[in-house]
Amino acid sequence: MTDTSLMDPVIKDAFLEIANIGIGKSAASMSQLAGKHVAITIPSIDFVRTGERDSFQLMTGTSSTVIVEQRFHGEVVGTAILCLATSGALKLASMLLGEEVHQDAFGEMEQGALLELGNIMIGGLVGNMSNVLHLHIGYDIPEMQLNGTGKVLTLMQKEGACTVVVNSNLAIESTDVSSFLLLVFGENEFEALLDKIRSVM
Amino acid sequence: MPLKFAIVDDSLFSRVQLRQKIQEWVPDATFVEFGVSAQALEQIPGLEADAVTLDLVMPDPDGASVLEALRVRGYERPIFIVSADIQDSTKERCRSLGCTGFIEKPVRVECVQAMLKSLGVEL
Repeated sequence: MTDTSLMDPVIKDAFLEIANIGIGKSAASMSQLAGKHVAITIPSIDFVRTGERDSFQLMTGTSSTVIVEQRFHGEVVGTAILCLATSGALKLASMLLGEEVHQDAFGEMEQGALLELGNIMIGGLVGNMSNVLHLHIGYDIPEMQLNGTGKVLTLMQKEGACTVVVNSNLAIESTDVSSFLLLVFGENEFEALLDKIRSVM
Repeated sequence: MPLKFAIVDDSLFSRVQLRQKIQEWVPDATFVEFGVSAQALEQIPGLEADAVTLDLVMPDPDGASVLEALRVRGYERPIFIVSADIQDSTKERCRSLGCTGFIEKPVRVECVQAMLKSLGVEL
């Protein structure tokens, strides 16, 4: 069922367009927060099933990942996760706060800035998805983990889970930061989302 | 009298960002900040603030519940929602609950200006 749907170019195109607009909103938000122009690459979309979770580590290419996780619920239920390599997260925190941030000084303010950035980026992607599909979604409180790779893999490993991986490179001045926004769904929840997409096409 | 704002947001980063943007235009503004929404709900009616800014996604009660509760209790002063939840349905719900305006995060200067103008500030 779902695997066939994921091969459907129309479904993939719909996700890509939702991601494209959502990432565009996220980049605009980041630009607003950092006070600098943010250039983005066109996002790529991948669908990762439970058994393929290791491919996430291959994609991110790092074992040290800062994550902001936010569950959403309502007509569509899932978990959105912003993943940033620790080095990239430090650069972003520096830009957001306008000061140099060292890894051993990843304090409350730096974490707060990244948590809010994650909240806004997730809101951009999931909010756009909701608007396009005429849904209403409620959000839980976002949470942050400085080393969240294990948490991500655990979520992706759940039976029947399907993860939509949106990857885009964000370039701020001379700094490149690779970001991954993940939408993790249970099997039934993902089917419900696909039904919503089909209903508007 | 300087304008008085109550800023309700569980993110210190967001409170600082919003406060600084308001201060760019109203340097003598005063602020009462709440990181805990329950405290805000309890104290805002007695504050005589010129405007309240209210985040939505917060630990209990969430911003929509605070907005609703304040209006039900007869609080008539301006309440601006400031949120990363950009869904059309969310904005509509907030309007129906009686918000004065909806400002998307991250807060843009133009939105702060519009809020201040609605409060009678000459920019």
